[in-house]
Order: sequence, then structure tokens, then C-alpha cells
Amino acid sequence: MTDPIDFATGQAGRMWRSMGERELPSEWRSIVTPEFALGADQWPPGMDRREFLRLMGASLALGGLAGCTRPAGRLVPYVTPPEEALPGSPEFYATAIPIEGYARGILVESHLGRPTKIEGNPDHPESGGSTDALTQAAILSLYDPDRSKAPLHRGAEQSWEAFEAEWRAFRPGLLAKKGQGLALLSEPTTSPTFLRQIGRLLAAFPEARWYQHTPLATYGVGGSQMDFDFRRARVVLFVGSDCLFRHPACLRYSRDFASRRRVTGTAPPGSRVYAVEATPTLTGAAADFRLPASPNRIRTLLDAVSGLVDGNAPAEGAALTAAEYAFATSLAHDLRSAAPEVVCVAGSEQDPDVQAWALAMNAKLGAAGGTLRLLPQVRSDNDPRSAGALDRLAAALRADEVQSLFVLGSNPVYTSAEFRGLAAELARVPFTVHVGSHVDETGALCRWHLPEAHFLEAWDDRRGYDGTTSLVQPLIQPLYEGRSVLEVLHGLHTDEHATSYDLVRQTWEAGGGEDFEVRWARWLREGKVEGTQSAALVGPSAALFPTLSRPGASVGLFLLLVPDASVLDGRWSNNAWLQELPRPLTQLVWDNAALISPSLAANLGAKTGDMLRIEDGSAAVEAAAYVLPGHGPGCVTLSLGYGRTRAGAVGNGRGFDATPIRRTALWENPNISVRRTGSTYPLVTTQHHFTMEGREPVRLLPAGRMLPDAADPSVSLYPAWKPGTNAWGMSIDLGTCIGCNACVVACQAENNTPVVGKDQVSRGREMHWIRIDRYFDGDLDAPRILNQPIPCMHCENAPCEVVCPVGATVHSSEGLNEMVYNRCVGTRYCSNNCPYKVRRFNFLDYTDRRDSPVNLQKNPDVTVRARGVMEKCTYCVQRINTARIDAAKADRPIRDGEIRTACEQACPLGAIVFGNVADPRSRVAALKREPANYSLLGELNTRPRTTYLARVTQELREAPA
Amino acid sequence: MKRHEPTTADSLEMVAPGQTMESVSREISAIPLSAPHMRFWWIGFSVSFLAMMVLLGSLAWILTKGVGVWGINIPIAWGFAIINFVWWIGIGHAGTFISAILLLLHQEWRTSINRFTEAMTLFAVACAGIYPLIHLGRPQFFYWLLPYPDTMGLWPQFRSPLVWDVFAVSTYATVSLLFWYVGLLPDLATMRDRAEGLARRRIYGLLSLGWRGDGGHWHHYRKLYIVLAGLAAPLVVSVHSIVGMDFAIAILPGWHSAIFPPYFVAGAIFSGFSMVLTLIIPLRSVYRLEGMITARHLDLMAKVMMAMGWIVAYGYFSEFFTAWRSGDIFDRYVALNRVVGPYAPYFWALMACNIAAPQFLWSRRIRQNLVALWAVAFCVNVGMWIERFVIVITSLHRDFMPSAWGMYHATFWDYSTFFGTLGLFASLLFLFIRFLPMISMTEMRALVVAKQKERP
Amino acid sequence: MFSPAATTIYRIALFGGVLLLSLSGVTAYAYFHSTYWNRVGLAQLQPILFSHRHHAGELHIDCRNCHATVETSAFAGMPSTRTCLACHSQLFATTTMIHPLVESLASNVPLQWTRVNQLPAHVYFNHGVHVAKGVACTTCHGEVGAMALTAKGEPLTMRWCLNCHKDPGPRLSLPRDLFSPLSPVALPARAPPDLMAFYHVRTESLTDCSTCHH
Repeated sequence: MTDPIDFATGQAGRMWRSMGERELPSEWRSIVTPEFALGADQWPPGMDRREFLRLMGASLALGGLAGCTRPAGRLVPYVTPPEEALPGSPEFYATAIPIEGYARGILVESHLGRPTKIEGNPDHPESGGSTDALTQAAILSLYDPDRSKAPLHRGAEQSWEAFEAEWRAFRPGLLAKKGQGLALLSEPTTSPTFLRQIGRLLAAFPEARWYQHTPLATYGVGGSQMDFDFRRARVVLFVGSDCLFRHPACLRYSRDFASRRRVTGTAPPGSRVYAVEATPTLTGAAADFRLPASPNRIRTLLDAVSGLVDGNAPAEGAALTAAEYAFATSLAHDLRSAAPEVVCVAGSEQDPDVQAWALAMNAKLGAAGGTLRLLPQVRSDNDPRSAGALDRLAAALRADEVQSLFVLGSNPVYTSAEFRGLAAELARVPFTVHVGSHVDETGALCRWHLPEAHFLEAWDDRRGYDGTTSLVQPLIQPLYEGRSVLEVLHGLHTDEHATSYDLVRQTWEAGGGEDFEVRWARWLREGKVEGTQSAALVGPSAALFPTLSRPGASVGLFLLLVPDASVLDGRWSNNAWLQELPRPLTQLVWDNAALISPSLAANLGAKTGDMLRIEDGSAAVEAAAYVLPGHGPGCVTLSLGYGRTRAGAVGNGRGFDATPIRRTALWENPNISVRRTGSTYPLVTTQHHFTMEGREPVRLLPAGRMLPDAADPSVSLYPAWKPGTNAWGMSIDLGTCIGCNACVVACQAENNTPVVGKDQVSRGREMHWIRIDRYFDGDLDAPRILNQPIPCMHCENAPCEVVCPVGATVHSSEGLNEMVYNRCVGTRYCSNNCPYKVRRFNFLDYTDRRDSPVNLQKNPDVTVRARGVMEKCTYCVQRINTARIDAAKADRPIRDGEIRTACEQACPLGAIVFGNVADPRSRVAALKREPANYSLLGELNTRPRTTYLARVTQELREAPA
Repeated sequence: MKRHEPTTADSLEMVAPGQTMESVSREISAIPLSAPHMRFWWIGFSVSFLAMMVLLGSLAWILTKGVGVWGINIPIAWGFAIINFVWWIGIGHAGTFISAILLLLHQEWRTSINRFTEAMTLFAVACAGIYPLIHLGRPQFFYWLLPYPDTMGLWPQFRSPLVWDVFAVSTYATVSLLFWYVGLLPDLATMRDRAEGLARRRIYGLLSLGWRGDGGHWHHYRKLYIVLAGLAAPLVVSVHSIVGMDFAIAILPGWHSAIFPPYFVAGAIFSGFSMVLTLIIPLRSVYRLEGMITARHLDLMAKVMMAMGWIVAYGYFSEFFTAWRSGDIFDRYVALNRVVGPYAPYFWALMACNIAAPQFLWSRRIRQNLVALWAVAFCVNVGMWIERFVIVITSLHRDFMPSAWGMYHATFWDYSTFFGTLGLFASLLFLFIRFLPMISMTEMRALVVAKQKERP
Repeated sequence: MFSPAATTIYRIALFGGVLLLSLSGVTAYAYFHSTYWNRVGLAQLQPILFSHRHHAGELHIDCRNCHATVETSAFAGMPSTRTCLACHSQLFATTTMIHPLVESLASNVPLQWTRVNQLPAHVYFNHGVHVAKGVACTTCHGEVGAMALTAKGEPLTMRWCLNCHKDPGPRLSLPRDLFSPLSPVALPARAPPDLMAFYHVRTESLTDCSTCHH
């Protein structure tokens, strides 16, 4: 990170100018602004990509392809050099990314003014230095070629001035009526500045209405939100909750959760984790005991549990199956014995009464104030100034009460079935404005569309789930004509010009103080405003358990809607990394699917790929079936966010639209009917075989036992490989890894891994350097779900090396299995001979078009691989080299933890540890001494440098006699 | 001429009675010189020429788009290209085996077929040679497999069997070409003398390197021919052993097996002989060569083919035996997967073609029934291709990590390249028949003399 | 049909062909290892006729004055227009030779120098560490201080790089010579090991592929 004082010295305006100095160099304009036809002569022919990327920031453009003609390259120095930038070494800036409105602290890597990679901010409580897949992928959205580039008036390009002129002409009428007929629709937000703007706006237009809409969960019940402390939880119950994977606080939760799951020696894990759920989740898969059940059975089971905790036998009529009974009794026993160090989490998508049950259970067991804290809701869902949700707006539209509508970064026409029917009403509104990053379904229906600036392009401020506020500072001037929502809001009620920077500053200057500048600088450096964490409310007193079971409940099938793991409600639809990211548990790419249990599949006579027609009384959707072992019986899961029509080139027309059958903001749709249509659909997955075939790639270790000794490494005719000063190795803990895919996207962002598209993936040509294998162990209706990250093993006896005819893959002195792209001729023999199949081949030209803005994201320290070249995980050798050079220049050894691979750095659970195995004091060396340590396919005597820690299993408690 | 039909097997002979030195030269040289049966030739040639054009088209497309146009993927990174390469190389072997090894063993029955089979060898190697080049991801850098003093200070990685391949195949091609051409010299001279028209005589004359047939010429010729035979003989073994090692060196279950080299050599000769029969039987009928390529030849070749078939069968058996005996979970799975897995139909087709079909050859009647013999030979050709398919694909598609298992779906371009090389092979063969003597006149004359001595 | 000479002609043709083939190999080797192909000593046309001999050789301006980041960064750095004008706003400010500089500042359009030393795109070279470990500027760039027009001083082929990476000792220079514009005087025979020790040059990873290619 650059020195903050140096960055932020002097007056406020100074700061903005310093941003200005990181103005786009002219070369960039040529590829990002539409008036230059893509691929126009802006680019020297045959310009070399990597060199271009390294030097572009410094305006050093180089022509010259190493070919026969060898055109002379150019060296183009600055006219006036900027202060910060040092050509050839990146800077990191602290900022925050808003996900579902909540802030997550991040550090953004910038190469001479060009943001290339997002890392977690160690100083931020909601990040702790780690990131999730969405955060990693956010950088790609900045360079999305389909982002809207200029204001559109009825689809025709216009200037901001034109919009402002029209609005100013319209505004007096509004003012006269105190703003009556002015409606704003936004997502619930945590931004103090946004809310301040709303306040000022409503002051100017008292009769105006501000509606809020999110198709996703509202993480709270009755104005407060539950917050858990997994560090102290000895027994955990997850009720249909995926809070380790998808939750505003998932990174913190994961970190805390892992702290108790990590085992040393032969001790059992520090917590016993139960999960009962209908839709399999990663959180459920991480549990020791997981019970798949239909929503109705879950309710029955929870009632039984509340009874058992109260000391009663299961209620009459609540006939539990043997499995359910064993689960319930063991759970109740553990809860009572471990109280108050217990946590019961009900999923954010669960019905209110289930959430209430969880709250009651926590209270009952005395967790309140301890492992459970009630926090005031950070997000504006229940803001008193808000005029309510989408249904209210819909009503107002129907009643023609709306004269002017501003949709701020929300897309109701796609996310709400009700709103889709309102096209006519929308058309009747004289002044409709959509502010968004894309001209989406809603934008298409509005009179005006205004391009919204990416969060790396404009100032903002956001609060994390625990209340911590972060200043969102831009790293780059807007690539296009985008403006922040703050600026738009500001422009609605006043003509005085103010940038997003001014607006955010005003919010915080109110807090004033003479040393404000110093604090402001510190806030920027640390990426958070100190003392903004919300104070806990008084914990709930012990409450009675609500009775959950519905005796007369429908016996029909349930439809469960969930946000898609990658695109959520469709807001990430145009992000190619996320589309091609294998979905947790299913390994599906580029589509969503109707998930059903093997038993239901048998009943329907359906298999994966068969089209299903899902109907409730009034609506119907069709989706391809995917048979998922461990899915609850009697229910179908369909994820939101697909079937987009105006997401962009990447997201359009993918998967199946769930919205039509969704009742407003509800996640459960009981009493649906499902039948096969007879047609089929090509679903594509990256893994086709989900059983371990007795080979135990994932080792399970009953608590207190030792692993049977692995093959004796000394059986070899050849002398063992002698480590030098450095011997790089990695340890992956299968006990803590939950398979969240953060490492996969982090690797893709760091190593310029291409996206190949659905068709190529269907041919088995995905390019991810690290993949997450999934296995279902045991009974397919209630299996144990196992995740295993597989990077290159960097074998000491690497089978790939002996068979390469040109020595393009060789062993380094530090034990890396090197892949030399520019020497590779592409025989693919190495891949055949790799027992782990971690090698990836450029079967076709997978590089992006030279004129695509996506190229601006590429990491200049990693070669972009050409067609016909093999590639694979390098242990982020570019990071190793940087560290080695720094150490060499300073004449010191490389410190443990100084080198962190992209996957390790991203991992929220700290499951991946990289380091020097030759140094006995290093973390990785210590982990490899653990009894649970084992080598994958060790019997082949490949002597992999990447080893695994077996997953330790626990037993259910016997029912007390 | 008088057609000779064998009555009983005892009367099977190397040359039909009544063949004289003059008659063999006349009959053989007549084919290129006075070009009989031109309709057959034109039809055959134009069809194969079209197929060859398909090859050119496919190559163009592969070089523009990359090898991704094939069905290959991860885990199955090798597909038709390697299968075809091994298949073609194998076919070549019969030629060298017949002309070199049988020569050294003084098997006179090679005499009337060696020229043709050598030609077949060359053309098969030409087809095979294409694949290692185009299957490279970056064929423009193929020369990095050759040891030469570059400006990078790098050398090939000599532990890789692919580098051994480069040497093995190139040596094999060179020696086969020399051997074939040297054998041609006296005949080319004969052609020069018998050809009408200055141009033709000039061309044959140039090709015959000024052969005048004096004692010195014959003396050198015989020496050189034997020396080349001695050089070629070990290549028969070495080349396909090394091709076998391409697989045996790898650690894959189903590849990593010591039996591969010998079993590949046997397979090669097996497929080679079947190909010879597949081609010779129709040709000798069309061009009325029964007098020189007699039922006896076919009979003997059939026997060799059956013997080789048994060696190959033993190879299959030993694979399964070692898989079972080793107790190795991966080997066992691959073995089982071949028999009952998704590619089981290929495996059983292979069994039918390579093990069942040849058993018919126990019967002399079938060995002497042209149609039946041809059918068996054709089966073996197909079978040997499937064998390579089974070895390459089934070992790769389910190896160590169940999570990485996949399937192989050949694309149009896989088939078009294979079909194309068949076209190339056939085109070359037709040109050979049209312009060069397909039986060695020199050696036939010698044989005739020998036979006449034998006869009372 | 053939004249008696035919045989002779034919023989000559045959042996000549073989000879030619082998000769072409030798020629190719010589060509691709030649300074001509490697463009050593070839001066490129530049927007300004800048003379290193004058600035570095005669005026003894330190290399780092203009190539400022050579010790700190992978990239040695090129002087910005303002760097040049630091002196030339006074000296020769009005001469036509300096005119492009004035232009550049006025129009805020950078100068475009033609590359003299250019590594392939897949080579990651770091100036900083080479200087820190005792490789003098002139070791790779030649006697820049003697060049009126800047030209490539060494072939910069991979073989050439490896020569030093395999045995750095003899190519190292004394700290005082690191930035001298002219090649330093030859060092005594026992110097290399001493210098290796002095600079703490660790050789294990010097010939790893990933040291330069990743």
C-alpha cells in the first residue's frame, strides 16, 4: 500500500485531482469508448499483449512480434511523470465492495492506474484478508464490454446535459406539488451518504415516495439482525442455512467456524455441527451430521427437538423416522450439554416462524448475548422514510399516481413477476429513468437510461454486516460516462454541481473535528471508519418455541427458490468468470437447473437433462432436471437469476427463468406439480463421476484415530529429491474447506485463465487451474458430501516431466513443477501422464479479442497463453519470483507467509497454506507433520508437494436410555 | 496367356509352369507400359484422389483453427491422430518384414510380393508421418524435437519416447525408401529398354541411374541389397517397439505394461499382412497375376497372419492376467472397464475381428477361397484399428481420479483426416501400379531360372 | 539416348546435391548465430539524435539520472520530457535538434524512441536485481559511453543469457564500476569468487526456467 499521507496530503480537492492524475491514458480510451470502432487502427498491428499490459499504464506501448519481420518496438516515456506510479510494481488501495448493499473490505491491486485484482482487507472485520468468489469476480465486471456507456433517451444516445435539461424543465411542476408523483425505487442500502441524499430529497419533495426492493433475503427479523460468534460455539445447528457461503458476514463466519474445526494431533474438532436442510448447501456439507428433509419434515423435526430440549419425548403424531429420531435426540443432547456455547442458525430464506424458532432456541439455551448477538439492522430495509416495497409501487403505478419514476440500480421488471405485467403502466408514466450498469430489462422500458459508475470508478460509503463503515474510494476514472447514484440523486433536487467525492466528504465532515483530514486519511488507508461497529441490542429473553409443524399441510411437492450461487438474482449474469464457475455441489456451468433428489427422480422417471414442467395453480416454468444426491425428498430447487433477456452478451438466454412462478419475495412454493415434458436439454458440468470408486481421494478419519501409513516414500531406485534453501509446498485442510470456489476465481483473476464457454466445457476443455472436486459418499439419498480442491501437486517425481519431448515442463531447484509456455509444442503427453489431470490445454485460441476491454484486467506478470500450449497451476510463481527478488535485493531469506498464492490469500477458512517445507518452523511444514496429513495417490510414488489433511468425522450420540 | 489353376494344395507353386524369363518381364512391364485395364485404374484413382483432397481440406482447417476441432479433451488428450499413426506405422511393417527378414531367411516366396509390399510400406509411413506433426498444438515448432544447436542453448528432452519416435520413424522411412529404390534399379533399366517414346525412356533412364547391367553393377547391387536388408531387419523390431513405448513409458493403467513392445511388433506385422492380402487379392485378379502371385503365396501369407494373430491374442490375455495378478486397483478397473464399460462394444468388436475371424484360416478351403480370405484380412485391418482405439481411449478416459473421468466423442474432422489419409495411401498406390513394375522382374527371372533347373 | 557425359553429369548432380544440403545447414547455423541476425551494433533511427557518448561518456552524467528506476524496478525507466528539459530548457533550447522536446511538452505528446534492446514478450527481466547482484550496465548494453548513436551491445539471445546464469562470477563488476559508461578494466583471476561472495549471488535457481518465464 502507498503511504496514505503521501496519497492524501493537503486539501480535499487535492485528493480528487490526484485521482484525476490517474486519468485514462489515451490508448485506453481508444478501446473503451464506442466512437472508435473496435479493432480500429488505434492499435499497432501485431502489438504484443503482455508487454502492452505491463507498459500501457506508463504509456509505454511496444509494437513488435518476435517474427521474421521484427518491426521496431517503441519506448514512449511520460511527458510529466506522476508521483505515485513506479513502472513495473503495483500499488494496493483499500476500499470496499458492496454486495447486496453490505460492505466488504478489500484491497485492490493497481498496475499504473489499472485495477487488476481484488484481495481481502486484513484490517476489515468482514473480510479478515479473505474474499469470496463474487468479490474476486467483481474486477471483471469493471471491464465488461456490455456496460452501458452513455445516457440513452428512448434507446438513442444522449448527453448527461440533455437529461439534466429535460429534468430541470420537468422539476418545477413537481416542486409545485411538493414532489407528489415522484417515485424512487432503490435496493435497500447501507450507505450513510445515500440515506443522507434521500433525506435531503424528501425534504425538498415531501410528497415524493421512496420504495425499496430486493429480490434477495432481508437479513433481519423485525428491525434487528442476528449475528453469531462461531469461535465460541461448541454445538452448531444449521436449519436450511448457507451462512458460511452466502451471507453478508459469510467471510467472518467462515473464519470463525474454521477456527473450531481445525484439528491438531488426534483430537476431535472443537465443534459438533448439525445441519437439516432440503436444498443441499455448502454449509450443510461442512456439517458433521447432515439430514436432508422436505420443508414439512424439517418443521416436524424441529418441533421434536424443541420438545426434547424441554425434556419432553417427541410430540404425539410427530412420527419420526429412525434417522430423524437419532438425529434429533443426539442434537438435543448435545445442545443441552453444550449450552450456552451453542448456535442455531435458520437460513435467511427460511419462513419467519422458523427464524423465530431459531431465535427462541438460542435464547432458551442462553446463547443470547454470548454466541448470539442481536444487532440493529444495518441495511435500510426497515427505514421509516421508505414508502414500502415493490407491491406498493405497483399499486401506485396501477392507480396512475406516479408522474416520474427513478429506478436506481434495481431491475424489478426481471426480478418480479408482478412487475412484468406493468409494462403498460410504466409506459403511461411521463418521466421514467433507469440508473444502472447495463440497459437491463427495466432500463429497456424506461424513457431514460443513465449509466451507473462501477464501484471502482466513484466514491461511496458502505457499512458491513457488523456495522463497520468503509469509504469506497475509486481507483480509476470512469471508463465510460458512468456516474454514481449519489450524483444522480443529488442532481434531482439541486443544480449545484457536486461529485460523489464531495457528497461523501460532506457526510463525514459533519462529524467534523479539526484533525478530520488525518482521520480521513487513516480511514482511507485502513479501509474502515473506526468506531462504527454497531452495538448489540439487548438479547431476546427466553421465549416459547413456536409450533412449526403444519398438521394439515399439503402433501404436494414443494418448489424451493434460491439465489444462484454465481449470479444471485441475475445481478452477476454478465460476468463470464461466474457463469463458467462450476456451481457448488452440482458442478453445473452456464445454466441453472431444477434440482431433485434421486428418489423424486425415480418417481418422475426423470434423469439429469430431462425437461420438467413445474406448475402451481396459476403459473408454470420449465427447467431441466438435475438429480442431486442428498437433496431433500419431495421438493424441487430452482435458482433465480437465469433466463435473462437483457443481461448482455454473456448472460442472455442462459438457463431457466424462475421468476414467473415466484410469489413476491417468497422462497417456498408449496403444492406444485411437476411432470416431464419429454424433451431434453444439454446441461454441462465439469465433473461427471461423483463416487470415489474405492480410491479415497478424500480420506475420512474417525476422530481420535490415525491414518494408516502412506506408502513408504523411500521405495525408489533413484535418490530422493534433495531440497535446497527453499522447497515450496502446500497443505490443504479438507476438514475446514467448504468448497466455496473463492480460490478458483482468485486463481483465474491472478493467472489470466481464459473463459472458454459452454460448448468447450461440454467437450471437457475448462481451463481452471484449481478445481473443486465433489464426491458423494454413502447412501445417495443422504450421502456425506465431500469437497476437495485440486491444484497442481508439484510432484517431486513428476510423471509429466519425463514424457515431454522438448523439456517444456521441468523441475525447478525449489521443487516447482514448471510449465514453460513458450517452449511447449503441445504434444499433450504430459496431461495424459498426469494422474491428477490438473493440466489444461489451449485446444483453440481462447484469448480475448485484442480490442476487448477485458484485456485491461490481465495480470502483466503472467504470460497470456497462446493456442496449442499446455498450462497449469504454477504455485503463483510470479509471486514467488517477486518475493525472491525483493529478498535477494535486501540480502535476507524469504519469510514464512511472505509468499501467498492467490488461492491461499482468498480462502476464507484458511484451509490452504503455502510455504517452505524445507524450513521446519514454517506453518506448512508443521501441518505436514500432522497425523492427518496424506498425499493424494501417494501409492504412485509421485511424492506430491501439495498434501491434504484428512477430514475428521464424528459420531452421533446414542439416544439416552 | 494360359491361366494356371491349382488343383490340390501339393501342386501349389511359386510360379506357374510355363513362365519363362521373357514372359515374366513381358507380363510385368506390360502393366506400366501398355497400361491395361485403364477403366479400373481411372475409377480407382479418381476416387482416392478425391479422398486425398478431403485430407488437404482437413489439414488446412486443423492448421487454421487448431487441434481443438478434433474430439480430444482433458483427460483424453490423444485421439484419432495417435490411433491412426500407430495403425499406419503398423501396416508398413509387413513390407519390411517380407522384403528384408524373409530375404535374409531365403524365403523365396517373398519374391513376387516384396516390391509391392515395400511400396505399401513407404506409402503407409507417409500417411503415418503426417499425424505426429498435425497432432501438435503448435506444429510450427515441430523442429524443436530435433537436436540442433539453437540460439536458445536448448536440446530435446531425450527421456521422452516421443523423441525416440522421431529418430525411429525417420530412420525407418529413409531405409525403406533406399531399400525399395535400390531394388528397383535393374527393373527401371528394363523399363527404360522396353519403353516406347523418348520421354518415357529418358525418365526411366534417369531413374535407373545409368544401370547397364554389367557384372560390376550386379556385383555391387547384390552386396548393397543384402546390406540394406541387414539394416532394415532390426528396424522391423525397433520402430514398433518404440511406438509401443510411447504408451508403456507412461504410468497410465492399461498403458504401463512391459508386454507392449513385442506385442506391438506382432500386431504391426499382423495388420501389415492383412493389408497386403486386402490389396493383393483384388489386384492379382484384375491384372491377371495369378501366374506369379499364386495361391501358394496367399496360403503362406494367411498362415503367417494367423500365427501373428495368436501372438497378439497372447498380448491381450497377458494384459488381463497382469491386471488381475498385480491386484492394482487401477489396472483392474481399466481391464474391467474395457470389457463392460462404455466402450465395451469396441472391445468385443476387437475380439471378433482379431481373434475370432483369423481362426477360419485353420481351414485350407478358406485359405484358398479368395473372397473368404479377403474378408478375414479386411476384418483384421478393422480390428487392428479398433485395438489402437481401445488402447488409447479406454485407458485415458478413466484413469486415476474419478472426478476427472470423461468420454471421447470423435468429430467430423477426426473422421475426415482418417478418411483423407486412406485417400492419400490409395492414390500413391495407384500411381505406383500405373508407372512402376509392381513385381520385381529381376528376382522373378532368377526364380524362374531356379525353378526350371529344379524341374526334370 | 544419353550422351556419354550423362553419367558424369548425373554423378556431379547427385553428390553436389548432398554437399549443398549439408552446406545449407552450416550456413543457417552461422547466420542465426551472427551479430547480423542479432542486430548487434545496429543503431536505430531516433526522434532526437541523442548521443550517449556525449552525455554519459564525456559529461559523465550517471546512467541513473535518466534511467531512474533501474535499481528499484524491473524496468530501467526512460527519461520523461521534463527530465530532458531540466537541462535543455537552458542548453541548446532553441536548436532544431532539441525542438521535438519542446514540441512534446507543448502538445503533451510523448516522444517515441525506437527500441534498441528488445527481449521477447515471454521473458521477464528485472533490472533491479541484476544491478543489485553486481551486473554492470555495460555488461549487457555494451560500451554505451562510447556510442554516438545507441546500438545493441550484446546479442541478448537466450544462449547468451544462460552463459552468465550458469557462471555469473566472471561477468560481475566492482561496485564502483556498476554504472560506469565504459567497460571496466579486466579483474584479477581470483576476483569472480570474491565478487560472488560479496554480492551473495545464489546460483541454484538461476537456471530455472521460471526465473525468466512465467
